[in-house]
Amino acid sequence: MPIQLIIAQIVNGVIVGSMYALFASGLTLIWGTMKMLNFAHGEFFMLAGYLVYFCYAVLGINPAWSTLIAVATVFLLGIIVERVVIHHLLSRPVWQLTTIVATLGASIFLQNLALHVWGADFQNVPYFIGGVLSIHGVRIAYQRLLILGVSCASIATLWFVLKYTRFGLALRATAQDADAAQLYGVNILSIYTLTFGFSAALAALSAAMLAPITAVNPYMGLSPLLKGFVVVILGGLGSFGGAILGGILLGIAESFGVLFSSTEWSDVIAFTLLVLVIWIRPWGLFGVEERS
Amino acid sequence: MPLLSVESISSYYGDAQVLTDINLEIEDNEIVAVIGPNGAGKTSMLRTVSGLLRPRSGSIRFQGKAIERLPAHALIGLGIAHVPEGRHLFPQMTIRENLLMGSYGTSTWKDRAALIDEVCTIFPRLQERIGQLAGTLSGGERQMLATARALMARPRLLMLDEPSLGLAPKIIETVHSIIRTINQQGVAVLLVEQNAQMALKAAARAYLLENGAIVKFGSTVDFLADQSVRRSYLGI
Repeated sequence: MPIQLIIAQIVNGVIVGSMYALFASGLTLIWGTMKMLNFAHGEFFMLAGYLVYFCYAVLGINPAWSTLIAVATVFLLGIIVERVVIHHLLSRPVWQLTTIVATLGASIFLQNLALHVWGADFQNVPYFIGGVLSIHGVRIAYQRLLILGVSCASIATLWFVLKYTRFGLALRATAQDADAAQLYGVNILSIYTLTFGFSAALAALSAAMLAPITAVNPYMGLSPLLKGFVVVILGGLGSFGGAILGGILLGIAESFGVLFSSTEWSDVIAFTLLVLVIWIRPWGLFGVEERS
Repeated sequence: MPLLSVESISSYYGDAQVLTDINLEIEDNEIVAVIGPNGAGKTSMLRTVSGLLRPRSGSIRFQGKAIERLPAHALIGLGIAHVPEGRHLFPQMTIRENLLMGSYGTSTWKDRAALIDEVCTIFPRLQERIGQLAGTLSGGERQMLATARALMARPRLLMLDEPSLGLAPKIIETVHSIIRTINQQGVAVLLVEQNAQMALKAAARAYLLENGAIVKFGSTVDFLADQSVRRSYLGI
């Protein structure tokens, strides 16, 4: 096998993986803070895909503004969904189950709403930038480099916000001990709402970046959601660093997998990896074993 | 006017009543002890005062203001700091970040850097380990960090739930001498302890809680002289 092909596959794996990481960090943020799973995460991805399609492909707004509009709109949508669907469940008994059912319901609702309004057709979004970078026979499209750049920048920003801002401090405190956070002045319910909004915004950002290389359609959120769960379990649920490393690991594993088999096998690779990790290290590769 | 007055509070977990008609008062600058056996409702009482548990009836006043309907996160800003049982530190955050959280909900946030230096003069051990994760600390250090975090809010009332639980006798002495120091700086202390001996030594007045109700209150001198208290709680 030529070395250029191997390098290209690693680079592609890292690029796709960085998107998995970005998408999954939204899931892990919600799990870490609210201790709930969000099955509607893929639909925020899908809605952002449509927003980018309409802004960029239909209205001709430039890609940066289109992305910004999609991310901001989905952030607000996330907040609305949290307030309407989830907020009132959190303080009730068995919220661990009711929130799963509620987010599943939101997912089905949003999917069918999209289907009803926009139809089942696949919409194509043109590349944000054309051209291909070629170094020593390794060819990478600029669009893919843009994806890598945006995901690195957003992961670094997210890390900075979590680590160094007052809001990040409150969010981490809520995640680690919600009672103590309340005693020290954190309004955890508004932290939950904002966390949900930011999580949706992360899904939206990854959708905006991926829209040109995948087709926009009502079901486009399903595959990233499943992959996202693989990534967060791979990395350790609730671990931000785990989600990033898990995402990149999955990206590389998949891109090597397709060298030896066909593209349809990428899901098989992802879920085999998941089963292996659950079998050997149920708390995830980078998570901490829970002791009761 | 007392600093804190708890009037006829009754609290429930679901349908199970945990507190019945609790009355309690603390004056400014006072140390008050609440003693009682495990499961008597001591922790529930503190959780009710700090808003983590809603009372079904009764009222709680702090500096004359009714607080029983306020959300838990609003109380630290009024000057009530609660160090819960088991310390409840933020284990994956550094000592510095845990201390910062003490200032989070209060007007002291703008003075946070100076306050960290100030509380570290009371707890020099924390200064040495300021960048270390709270989860790596020993039991005594955890209690000190939890207390220091509360002081970052410059509270008027400090509520300590079982500060000596799980600590070696020598460390308990240190913790209690620190509690007295804090009190001398003008902070009222509500001290909840199973370790009745230590609590009665530190406080001027005490309440005895059994089965969710106050069965005795008065000066600690009276408590120490009471035969049944001595037998049941002091092992004398």
